[in-house]
Amino acid sequence: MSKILIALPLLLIGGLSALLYWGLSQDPNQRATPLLGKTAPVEQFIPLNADEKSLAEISAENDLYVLNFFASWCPPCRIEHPQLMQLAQEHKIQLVGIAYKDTPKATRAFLQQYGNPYVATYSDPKGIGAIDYGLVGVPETFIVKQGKIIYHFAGPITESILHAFILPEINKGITE
Amino acid sequence: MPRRQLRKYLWCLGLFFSLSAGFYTPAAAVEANEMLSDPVLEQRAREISQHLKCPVCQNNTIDDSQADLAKDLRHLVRDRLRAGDTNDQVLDYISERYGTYVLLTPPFTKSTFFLWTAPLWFLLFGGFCWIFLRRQKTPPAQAPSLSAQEVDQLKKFHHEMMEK
Repeated sequence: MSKILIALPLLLIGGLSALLYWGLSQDPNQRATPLLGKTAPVEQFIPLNADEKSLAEISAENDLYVLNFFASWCPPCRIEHPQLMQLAQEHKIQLVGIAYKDTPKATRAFLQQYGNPYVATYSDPKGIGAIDYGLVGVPETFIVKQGKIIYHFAGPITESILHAFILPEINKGITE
Repeated sequence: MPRRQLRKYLWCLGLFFSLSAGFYTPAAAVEANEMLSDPVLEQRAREISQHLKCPVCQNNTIDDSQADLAKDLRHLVRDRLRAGDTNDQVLDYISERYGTYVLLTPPFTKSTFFLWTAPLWFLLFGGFCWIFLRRQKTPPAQAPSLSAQEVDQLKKFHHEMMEK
């Protein structure tokens, strides 16, 4: 019996250490969004160009699209840009861009200089619409299928992240 | 340490702690132009803000975080209050979008059951240990003492062993 008593605190400490190790190695930016499976909010976003369709229309017309929050002033957005171009051009995925807390002028200049991967671009100058997506910063990317959010990624989409997470999730969305 | 010195020491320690407790005022990041004109609503806004974790600077509440997003969320809290939401409705509105991790008072659900009841489990565990240790302290039953005959027999054996 005394052997159990000696072992018990050691087991507890061991278990607690393992739990802490696991918990502390989580990335605080990749928290699970409560919006999975919920309808993607489409209000509060102003088309960048007057002749563009509303986000509600785009959402209704496309079975699956990728929503990307970005900004011209955001360096990681610049880093992920080539991957977005790749998604649009090579993989033929519909991308929608939302310029977060930016001016139309700066946004257009950014897209002109680095290329425009988006079928439609919107502005969220005060970040009000972004709050509906639980946005913490830019860039953040959402995969929307039939109007519902099926995947969320916070941070720049590097080449490896594109292949490890984004493309598989898009494929899941297409095939399921 | 002699008693008089100990008392002086403890008195100083007590004074130090009570003064520190009294002078603690957490810094707030709320600017004057954010505040609502209705003081009742503004007070509710401050209370709610102090119950919300800033998603960017996760050590701060949105009330005392300098982050842009914290400012946006403070505005949102005030907007919702002006729209007539209750305190709980405002907290729900934000946690529905950011996740329940932003609530500084975590909800009582299946996944937070052990978080909430952990102190109870520790107390129970400590209680069991204490009871067990108390039981251990009662002395074991005495071996029955030897009868006079058995003492003689023992002496005989002892002599025989000594002669060998």
